Amino acid sequence: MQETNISPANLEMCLKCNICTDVCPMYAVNPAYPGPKQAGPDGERYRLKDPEFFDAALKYCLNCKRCEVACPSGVKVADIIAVNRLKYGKPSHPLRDRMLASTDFVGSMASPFAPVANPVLGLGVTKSVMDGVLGISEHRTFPKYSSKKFVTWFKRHAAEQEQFPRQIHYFHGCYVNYNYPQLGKDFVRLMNACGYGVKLLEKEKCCGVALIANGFGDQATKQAKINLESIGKADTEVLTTSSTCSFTMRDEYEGVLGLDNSKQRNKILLTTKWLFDKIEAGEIKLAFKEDFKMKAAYHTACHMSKMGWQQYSIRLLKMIPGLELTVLGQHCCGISGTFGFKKENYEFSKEIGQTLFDDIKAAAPETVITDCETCKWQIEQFTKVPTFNPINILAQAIDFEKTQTLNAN
Amino acid sequence: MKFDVIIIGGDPKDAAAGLQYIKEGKSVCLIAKGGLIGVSPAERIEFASKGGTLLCSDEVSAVEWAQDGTVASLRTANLVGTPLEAELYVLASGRFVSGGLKADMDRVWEPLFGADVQFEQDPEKWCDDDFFKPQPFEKFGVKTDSDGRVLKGGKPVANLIAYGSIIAKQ
Amino acid sequence: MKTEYDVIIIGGGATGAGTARDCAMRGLKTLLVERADIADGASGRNHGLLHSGARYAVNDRESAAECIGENLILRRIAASCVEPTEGLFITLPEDDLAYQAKFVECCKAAGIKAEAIDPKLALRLEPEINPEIIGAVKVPDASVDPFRLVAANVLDARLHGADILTGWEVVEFIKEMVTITGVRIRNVKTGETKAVRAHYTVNAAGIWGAHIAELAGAHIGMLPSKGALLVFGHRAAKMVINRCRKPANADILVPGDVVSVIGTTSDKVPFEECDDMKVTRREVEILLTEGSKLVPSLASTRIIRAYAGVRPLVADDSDPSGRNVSRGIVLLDHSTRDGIRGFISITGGKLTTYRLMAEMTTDLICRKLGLERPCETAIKPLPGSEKEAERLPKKTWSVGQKAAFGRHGGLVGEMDFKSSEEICECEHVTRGEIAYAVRELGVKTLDDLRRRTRVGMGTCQSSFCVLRAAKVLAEELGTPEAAEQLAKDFLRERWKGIKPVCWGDQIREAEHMRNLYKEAFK
Repeated sequence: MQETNISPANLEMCLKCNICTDVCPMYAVNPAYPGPKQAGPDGERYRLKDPEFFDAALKYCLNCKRCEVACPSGVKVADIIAVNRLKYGKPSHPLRDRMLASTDFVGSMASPFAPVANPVLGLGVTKSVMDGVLGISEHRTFPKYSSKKFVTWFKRHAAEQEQFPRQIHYFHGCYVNYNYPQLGKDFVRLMNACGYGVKLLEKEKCCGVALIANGFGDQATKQAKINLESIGKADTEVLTTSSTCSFTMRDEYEGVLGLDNSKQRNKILLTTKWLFDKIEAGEIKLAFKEDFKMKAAYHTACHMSKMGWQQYSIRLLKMIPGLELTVLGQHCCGISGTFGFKKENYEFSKEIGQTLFDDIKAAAPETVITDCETCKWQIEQFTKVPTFNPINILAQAIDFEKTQTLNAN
Repeated sequence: MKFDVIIIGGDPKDAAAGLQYIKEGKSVCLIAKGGLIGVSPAERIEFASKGGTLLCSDEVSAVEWAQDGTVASLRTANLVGTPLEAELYVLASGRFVSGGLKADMDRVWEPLFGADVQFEQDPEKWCDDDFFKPQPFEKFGVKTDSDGRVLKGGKPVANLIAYGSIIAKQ
Repeated sequence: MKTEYDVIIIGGGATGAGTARDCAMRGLKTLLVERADIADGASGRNHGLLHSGARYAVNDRESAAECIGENLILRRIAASCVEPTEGLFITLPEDDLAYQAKFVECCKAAGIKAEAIDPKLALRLEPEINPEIIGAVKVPDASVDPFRLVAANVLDARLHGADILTGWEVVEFIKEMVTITGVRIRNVKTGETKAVRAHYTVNAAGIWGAHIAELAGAHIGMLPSKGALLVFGHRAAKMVINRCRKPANADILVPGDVVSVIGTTSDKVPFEECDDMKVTRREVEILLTEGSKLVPSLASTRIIRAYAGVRPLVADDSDPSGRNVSRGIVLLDHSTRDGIRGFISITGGKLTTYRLMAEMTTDLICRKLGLERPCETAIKPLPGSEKEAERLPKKTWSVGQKAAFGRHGGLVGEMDFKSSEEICECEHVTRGEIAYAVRELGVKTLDDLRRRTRVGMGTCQSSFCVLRAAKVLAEELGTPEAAEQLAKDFLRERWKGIKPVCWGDQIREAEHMRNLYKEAFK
């Protein structure tokens, strides 16, 4: 007996060492936040007695999972916090939070009007309305909406994708679909070079990360179920180009939403991980352009470090002969998805990211590479260094024809 | 992924040992359960910049054994599907706090490799009545041969050595 | 303090504290003497169960009736110490379901509202219980915090003029002919002695009452019975869970504040062991094996501590062999029993019936003194449990303030929460609460502070907060140089409870604690 300690989110494994509090980026800048140990396992014992003990300051948790990465005892500190926020928290600004959380809904509304929406969202007057009425920081610029959705582009190319002998599924996510179809196109190009045709899921919904963060657990669960069903039906692995989408579907569906994703979990992979394993197993070979040259710095997104998968992205990037790569120290960029867009969080968001911004300035790269789209927004806003996904870089760096030949069989 | 040395550990001493191997020109992977407490960002960068691989917040989920009784490869919880191979494996997973040893009511074991463990058979004698006296459980640990190789079933595992507080004390 | 009293009460457990309160409320000049700290003996080493009486209904209807009566009273007068969790008596497949019918019938006869419910409904009320159950009965059991209960009684006794002396032991009775007229007491720490006099001396010393009676020249046949219990790290169940069978080992699980407590065992022990009870691994194993039949998750829930108390079982005066045990409350008037005047012993009983025991004792004293003063302890609420407490604005409070409210009820109004910094983070104890405890609740050591505030009672068993707490306590006591000794003593005390469960996750905590402090006090 007592060989294994089974408590929700390993609550009882906590030795109270406070390492989580020590690494928490929010605790360091915000005295109103009690820190992950207090908000997590300590608070939980009391909330189990009486939900009255829920502390509204839990809203400050970035869900960066650094506490969980640091915990030597395996306590799912941030899961405890996230679950309680969903259970007892109330949105501080319901309309804004709903708007920020509904990435796909807002995206699908905005895309057809992109030529209008983008300038309007960028206008000073609109910004001050958003700031004053909606509580969205006027210092923020919304990621631009693309006038053509990725899915629209893909449908026109779906037939040619079917011609490939091997197939792979792609979970594109909201960002690729509405804001940055180029990343999706680069993914398709890279897969095609490797001899794989791309298929989309039968149905894809936003992974739900923003819904979870903003307290819309029911909606997140609804979408998660649809995604899990589609992923379950897929006859190949399902690749993403977003560390956060991967992380949410692999870990948050179970840890925060309480869904059983055991059948799907290991099918959901970040493209760099999948590609690295295939290369190591000798199933895929890459050939690179001889004239490709770039000086870049790699930033490990928090959720990437939680999954431990930066190993794959870094190793893949290091395969590119012309790429001079600096691996940055693992500091949070501070945006935490929609968190940084809220007016009351803007200063925290900036302060948390400062170490990273300084590191980037010191490294003076032409580009920053990261697997997370929201890190990209933050880094571009505060350092003005253009920031890309490893897939963008790989797609640029490979010699398409040669790679295709290498993988022809 | 292939390395010269894989260290299963997670405290500053393990990182220091890793750096030592790196100085000898070896490629090193350090698997740490938590976030490597006490190792500064600068040290991490040094470790990484010299070709060291840090797998933080990860743990060994499976061990594959070769026919000759040596360790063939490891799997970790995070890097599912990616076998990790090395010439030498260093078991530096500490005693109880860091989970290098596990105990239930009357038994102590080493969970990763099933190494031979030395411990007091009578559980009533694991602790001293006085908190401030040395505790018998602090001597528990894995058995090793004179070369520091871990014993399993009484025989040394040729490519697995123990390091740090997980080693049994007299 | 005075040297002349109407009543001296020996023993700072629930019975002694309750008697002190009752005597003081009836206008008697009262002194309570306790050799260690309040609630240090069996009063602080039990389940923390406010019995509905159901457990005794089949075998001891009188005790059952007393329990339900007191249960209903304490819910009112000690609202801040009682949590109305309600209880279940569950029948497992290996138990006899016929017992349940008899049980329900006996409960009803004793005036206990016992309601047999569908096992499926029981599982909905309390999803953690064994899903195999074949029967379930809902009863009005509740959880009571014995430390708070005793502290509130002591506080109220003091507010009504009683003097409270902790850290003093009785070494001798002062006799004039056949009448006891006072006691000589000694300060346990300094060795100083002094004499105090009173018309009546009450022996409310629990199992140590046998020794007190000997000192007075009387003999009470007492049989120390050890009961071991285990504390789990969080609430494994919301309700009190009992096994519906003849009372046996480990058949009650009680939610006590933020933890769960399973117990007990029952073994005769020699008197010499009563001052230093050790829980064996064998006892832990019994508790765990039996406990996980009630609530299966206990088998994999972290145990943070084991402890044991001694039941003061009293041999029946009518049985010359001394083997038969009296049931229920034992009030001995030694003048009629032994020809010793001015001396009364109150023993037996239960934590749940402490107030009734106090009332019976005080009634006897008043009768002897020829006073006609009615008992009010069943009507007047204890400090912190007044009705107004329920209307306090909890919503805007810090977590520490809410936790303090849970411990002290309306008394939080007297605490300073300007700083929300928590000294003990597991139990959310702030400096303001500690300052209050030192000021009002007679705290001398960290262990005393623990009994008043839960400091060091959480998951880490003080390994994280001991130095901070010791420093703050030493400052509040005005003896900053004592901090190191306070910390050392507390670590030694906490170790006693960790040692028997030093495996699984607790051996991690133990090693962690050693790593932190083994070199700290050199």
